Amino acid sequence: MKTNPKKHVNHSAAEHDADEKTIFGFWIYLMTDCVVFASLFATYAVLHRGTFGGPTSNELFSLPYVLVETLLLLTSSFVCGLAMLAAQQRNKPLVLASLAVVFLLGAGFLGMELHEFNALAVEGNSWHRSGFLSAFFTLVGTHGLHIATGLLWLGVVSVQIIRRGLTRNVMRRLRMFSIFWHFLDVVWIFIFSMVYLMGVL
Amino acid sequence: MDLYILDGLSDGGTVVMAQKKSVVVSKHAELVTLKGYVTGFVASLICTITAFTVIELHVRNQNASLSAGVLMVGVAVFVLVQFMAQARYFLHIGAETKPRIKLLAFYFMMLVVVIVVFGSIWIMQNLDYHMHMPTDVRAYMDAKDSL
Repeated sequence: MKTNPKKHVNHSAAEHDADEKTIFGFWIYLMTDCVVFASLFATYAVLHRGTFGGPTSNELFSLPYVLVETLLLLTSSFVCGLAMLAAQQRNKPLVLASLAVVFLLGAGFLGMELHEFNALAVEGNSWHRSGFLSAFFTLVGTHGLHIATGLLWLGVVSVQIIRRGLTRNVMRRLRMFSIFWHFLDVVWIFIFSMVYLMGVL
Repeated sequence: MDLYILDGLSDGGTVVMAQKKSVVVSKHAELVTLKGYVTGFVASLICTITAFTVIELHVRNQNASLSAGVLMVGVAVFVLVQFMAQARYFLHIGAETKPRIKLLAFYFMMLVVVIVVFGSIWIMQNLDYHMHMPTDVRAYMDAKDSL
């Protein structure tokens, strides 16, 4: 039948295939994570009007504040792409500098989100208040937890780049991190549009 | 598979394979470049800021001419455009070589997401109506639709 085009594979090609398999496995995980977020979005959509006499979404949300959060995360995702380009060119200082920017923007986003949560809780509008707020904190909080995990991962990969350089293992981890980070930005644009923008209408 | 074998038989396998590979690789290279990332970033910025500006202006002057329904459709269009831009230029969906298993997993995920989200909303809305006395349902539906 068909002749195998990879009959004379060398060692590095086999390693490359192994890396691709690992990254594919990570991709499958992300697809299942999408289903988790989808069920949280569905819960939010169902409970959105269940305010139990408490504040509604258009009384709580401040759009300019959330726009700044969105732009921080979007820029962070873009710079993460630049870090991948620098990694392809084996430019180690540029990779580390880009990743530092990604980290700062991501930490800024997470700080703003925690500040928003704290302000809501102080006013008595925590997840105890109503079904709407329970769903809101669960959806946005789950995304925030992913961001926090991503920041931890980014820190670990950065230390590995400093210590070991851009080796094959480190490159594979960096590629998976960049997919994860872009994925979190994609989820956030849906939260920004469906929860915040549509919430104030 | 059949086409692949036919190509191989008629033109000589390795040559065709090499040509195909170079085509696909160049497509991938086109996406994983500075230009690709900048395109995705600029498209996302335009979508985010336009959607934000329209909604913020609507909220500030309450007498806006557009209805909430039209604005929701507008926001949905912008989010879908931005989703496609980021999926293409940041996540490089569609840039992999054949067989496109990642793309297949992505399509299946989209199917599950659509079923979960729209199915949940549909069922819960139906249950909501059934929680009311049959005589009151019509009035309740009208009141809810006017919201």
